[in-house]
Amino acid sequence: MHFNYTNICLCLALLIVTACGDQQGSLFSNPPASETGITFKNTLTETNDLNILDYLYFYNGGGVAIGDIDNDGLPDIFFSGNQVKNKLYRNKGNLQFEDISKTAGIEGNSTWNTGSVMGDINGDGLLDIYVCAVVGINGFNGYNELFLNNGDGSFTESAAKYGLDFDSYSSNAAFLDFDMDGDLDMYLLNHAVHTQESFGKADLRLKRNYQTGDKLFRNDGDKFTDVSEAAGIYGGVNGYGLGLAVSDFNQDGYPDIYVGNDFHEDDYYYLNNGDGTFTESSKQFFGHTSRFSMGNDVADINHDGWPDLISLDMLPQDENVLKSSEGDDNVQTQRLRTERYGYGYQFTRNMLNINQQNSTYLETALMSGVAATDWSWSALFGDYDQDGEQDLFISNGIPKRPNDLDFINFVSSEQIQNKMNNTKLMDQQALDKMPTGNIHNYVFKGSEDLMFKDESGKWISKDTLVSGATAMGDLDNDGDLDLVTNNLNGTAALYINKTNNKSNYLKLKIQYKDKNTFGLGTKAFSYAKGKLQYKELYTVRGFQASSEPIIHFGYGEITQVDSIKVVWPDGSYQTLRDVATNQTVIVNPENTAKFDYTSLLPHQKPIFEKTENNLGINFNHIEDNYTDFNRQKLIPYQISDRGPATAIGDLNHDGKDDVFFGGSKYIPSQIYVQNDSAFAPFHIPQIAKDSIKEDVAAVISDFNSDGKNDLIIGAGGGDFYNKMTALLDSYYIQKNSEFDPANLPESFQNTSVIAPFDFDEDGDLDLFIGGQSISNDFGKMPQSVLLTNNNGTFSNKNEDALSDLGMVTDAIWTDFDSDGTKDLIVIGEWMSPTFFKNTKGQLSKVDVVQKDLNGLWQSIVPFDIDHDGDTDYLLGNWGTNTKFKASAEHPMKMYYGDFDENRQTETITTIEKEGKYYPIEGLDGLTSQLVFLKKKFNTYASFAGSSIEQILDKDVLEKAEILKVQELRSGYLKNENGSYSFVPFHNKLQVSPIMTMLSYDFDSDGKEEVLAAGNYFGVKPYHGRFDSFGGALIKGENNVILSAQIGLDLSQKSVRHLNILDLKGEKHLLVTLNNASTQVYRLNRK
Amino acid sequence: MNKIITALLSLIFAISCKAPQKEEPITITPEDLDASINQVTDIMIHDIFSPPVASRIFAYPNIAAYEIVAMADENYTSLAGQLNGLTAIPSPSTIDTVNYDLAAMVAHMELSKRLIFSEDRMEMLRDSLYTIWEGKNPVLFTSSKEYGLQVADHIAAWMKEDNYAQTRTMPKFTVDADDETRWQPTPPAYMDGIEPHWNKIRTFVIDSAAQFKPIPPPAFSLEKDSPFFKELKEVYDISNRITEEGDTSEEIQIAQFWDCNPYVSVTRGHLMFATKKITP
Repeated sequence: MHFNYTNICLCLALLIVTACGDQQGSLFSNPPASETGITFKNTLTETNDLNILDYLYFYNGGGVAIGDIDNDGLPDIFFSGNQVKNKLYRNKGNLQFEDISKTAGIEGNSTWNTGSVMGDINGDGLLDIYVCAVVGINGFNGYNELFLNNGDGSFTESAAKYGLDFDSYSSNAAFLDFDMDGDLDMYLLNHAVHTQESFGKADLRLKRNYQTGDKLFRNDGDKFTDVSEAAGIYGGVNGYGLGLAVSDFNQDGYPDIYVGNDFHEDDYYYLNNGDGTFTESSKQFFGHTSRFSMGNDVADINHDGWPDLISLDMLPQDENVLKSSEGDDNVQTQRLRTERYGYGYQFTRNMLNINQQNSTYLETALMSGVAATDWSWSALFGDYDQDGEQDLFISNGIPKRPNDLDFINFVSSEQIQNKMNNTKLMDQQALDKMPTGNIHNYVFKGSEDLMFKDESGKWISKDTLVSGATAMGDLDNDGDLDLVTNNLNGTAALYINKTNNKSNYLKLKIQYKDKNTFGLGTKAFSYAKGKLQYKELYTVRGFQASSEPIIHFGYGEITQVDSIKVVWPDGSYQTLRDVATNQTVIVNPENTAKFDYTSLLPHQKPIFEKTENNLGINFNHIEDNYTDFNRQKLIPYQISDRGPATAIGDLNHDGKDDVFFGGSKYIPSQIYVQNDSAFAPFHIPQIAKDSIKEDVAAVISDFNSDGKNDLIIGAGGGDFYNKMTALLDSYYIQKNSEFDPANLPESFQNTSVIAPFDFDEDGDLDLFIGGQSISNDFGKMPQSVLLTNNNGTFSNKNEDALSDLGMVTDAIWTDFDSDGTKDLIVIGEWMSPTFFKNTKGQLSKVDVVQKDLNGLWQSIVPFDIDHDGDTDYLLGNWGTNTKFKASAEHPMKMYYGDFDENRQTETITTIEKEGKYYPIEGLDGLTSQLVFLKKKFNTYASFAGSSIEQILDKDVLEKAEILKVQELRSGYLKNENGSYSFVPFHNKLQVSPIMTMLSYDFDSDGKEEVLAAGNYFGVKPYHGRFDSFGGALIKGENNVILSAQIGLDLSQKSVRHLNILDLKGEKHLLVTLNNASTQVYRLNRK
Repeated sequence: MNKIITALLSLIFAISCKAPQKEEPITITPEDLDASINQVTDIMIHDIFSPPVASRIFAYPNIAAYEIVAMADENYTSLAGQLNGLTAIPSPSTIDTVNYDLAAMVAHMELSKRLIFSEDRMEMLRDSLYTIWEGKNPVLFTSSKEYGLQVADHIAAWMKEDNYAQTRTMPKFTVDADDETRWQPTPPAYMDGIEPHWNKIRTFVIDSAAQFKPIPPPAFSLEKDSPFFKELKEVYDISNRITEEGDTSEEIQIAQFWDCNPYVSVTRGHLMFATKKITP
């Protein structure tokens, strides 16, 4: 008997539907309103004059706050409604709640309420409630209301009395003591709306606007004073503030602020200067941020005692939604926005930023698995399963998607526009065009190595609600974290945590002094079984909400915590020792001592120290303006930005090493010669004259054995094509002080690497020249060549073994079979590391490497990483922090062929999702090259969800060549008696492409280490920007130090070469960057 | 007996098949052509074509229709030999009678269909007209349709050689923001330069896009005395003045008449993007 799969699904669906009364996930249950008494429903009433077409934040929802307003030990719940009255529910215990809204007097008077926050504003030990409102557009009246807690279950609205009765476009507020005077100050988050004035340059943020601009208020006792201007807080007409987080991000004892701004405005990262002012520093610390920033949250997820940050956006996972939704900018628009209009890089996806201890953040959302959670509002970190790792809850959904491309096209037509601008006739039709987006909430289980696992549908049931503001608290006082979401057009949902006694916890309740009675800003460092957990108490988290003022830790099986260091807002601390788990500890300041914040800073002595004048090497590489995607519109990444070349050798015959840097197209190369104390520019007319070519590889050596060094330069750049002579590699022979151009065998590919070695053992240097690509024909295999040297004249050996080698990026001569002769290893993109055995000058491909290792390999270096005495090979690859996806089972596939039969080839890169292959490009991307697809798909909806087989006809696909990648991770080929298997690196080495590696004894401990560096920007904005890898020192398999801790920060730069420079016996690290100035670091040696 | 019945039945069957077909006249009015052009316009709004592309979509079907009408009416001169590369359309076969107006309509709809994306919407109009015409006079309809399609093929073959297809996949306009003398997109829409390769398409009448070279604008300069700056300032001043005067000013009326900006930026509600519009 066969069970029909569909029937089983139907049965399951039926079960789920019938179980709706009390929905059960394995970790959270959702008790119904009939049991809890919580009936609050944020019902939206759409009218002709008020809907998503009229008010851009019509669907942002209300607020929710959890806190014990009557100090009975049970946290109560407050909801603000957009158009419905606010509600306050008193917790009676046993998850029973009583609606006390009427008697409490908190129902509110504003037309449109948003975020709600509980906090003790007047320092009387009672939680007050601050409710934000949008006032002054769409006929919205009222003001932000402050409900002061009378202590008897009633509240008195007192906003005006404290100077907090704003009638602006408020979305949220946060309480913090930014000036450390012991009382709570307030940051008010306002949002902009689209007007003709809201666009334009970033410096719009400098001009204050009452309604849209954020504000900072100092608590002066009985009144709050606006200090925004003096404190350096932006308040412009372009501040679309939706996300707000307070944390001491740089661990200097003063709270800092992160503001998530929607649309084109950058997020703000306000670092507290400690003198009442802030310095907005987002560009310095974040290479890129979320674009349509919504809610955010802060927690230490990697156990280093520093707060990490997630900022939400709206990238969908589902192919159908993804391909019918507006996404990222195009390349040229992004360039204008960043280079001309002053904005930072922003991309449409969630960003997970790992704090690198007062250095730039490591952004890992794609790798960590939390980048795409669709229309996301609130993020809350918490150890929901109490295993000691931070988990993540993300609320989600929108009733109608205004970023649907078919809808946008519909309302874009002039006729519709005219009708919509002048009448309301088209509104209903326009509204109907928007698809619904009631996506389920997400929950992720945190684990080590920065990874999160999607447990939606398991820990929680998959809902069809539109959930926004979310608050966290222990509603049933059983020690685990419960959640409450404010839902649009649906009853508020309680997520009751069922961990209970399955795993151990500790709750800290803080009782602090002065007017900061709940101790906002208190930090707790927990040490148990060698593992650090760190929490900081701020209640305004997620989105338009505040959570219960408690600190919660999960401990798994651990029954006793070794110690908890509590650092108070005033900079003093005390230590609790041997604390039993499964209890609530009330902490007061006792026996405190001054806390030394410098103790949190990295202890390692920096190995690298930046030289002040770069030793005179003032080379600034300027990449030319050529944009690959304007011509070959569908290639997966650029090929024009692989330079510059760097070569070190003596060019002026004085016995000292000099440096050659290649120029990009039309820009001359530069040479720096070594003098007695530094380097100085040096002009060799014959070489400088040849400025047309783009120099991507170079070698200085004596090729004609006349005792003087010559120079060979590999040309690339991807712009010149066919048999243009600017694609030919250059060869300059030094004669006296002149350099004479000489010829190399003709080769019209974009060169990537020149590897010299005397492979035929005749006493002169021969060359392997790697071909990376063929201009205008990406996907076609270039021909790499082996050139034999005969008295300085090179001839092509026409080595058979090298035919169809692939898109080569790097090559080394190395004795991989320990026979005393150096062999050749070649790596590249869409190919496996390829080993060529050298037998008396004859190369033959050997099969010593693990199968299915096609990667986007960028760099290779020999290094005994496992310290077992043989040579392993470290390989830099693309990394996993990317929208590319590849495995042996489901390789990334690139179709290559002339799909539109215009006698030019195209490529379509596809990745697997649930067994099917989808192009990474959307319809606009594909049709920019393949116009015929416009006839096949005349709506985005008809295209969305189509696999490559549904997009292109079978016979077209059959004619196409398919290039594959099975491995995107960087790692190493482990040498096991001459055969090599691949071992991936840890995740912190997978955040960006590793473009170059250098083996050297940097710390002079007598052993070599490998310095790895990279980052890469040559991708379309949909892929983001691989910019947050600052480099790493690899000492061994499990011994990797990220660069921030050793004095090197190469983040936000795209590194091409690392070289050691010797100046008067002192060793320096030369770092060559693409499209940036070269850097020189002194090695701090013992 | 059986044989006779069979023969009779066959005869009846044969006669019934040969029942006289309708032979009503089919009259094509200017409104019919208007309807077809309107349908094309609506589809272009849906499919979103930029104004230059829209002009091309209008041109070829109308030339086809005109050539057919001109063949039957000596008041009109054929464009063959007058338009670059256009040769005389084929004559209808002498055996059949052809309604030239009907054939012109068929050619118009057929070519239009090939030029737009949403073919189904063009087919809707075509099939409803076909049904009507066929009902009136199937023989005439069929011969006219076939002739119309024949001419459509002839024009399509000419059209195919105009280099339009090649320009579709030519490089996008490259923005060089470092060069202040060059045009660059502006917010909020950051709209692309449209049709940077339009001059590579075969012209209809003039010998090439380069036949009438305009005098170049004055060289970019922000020096107060430079001709460029003076012209810039003039535009700026007028623009300020007419903005103040409001939408009723003559200049604004003139500007709106000439406005064929294919994009409009939408800043209402949640919308913020470069949107494309069309004023054919």
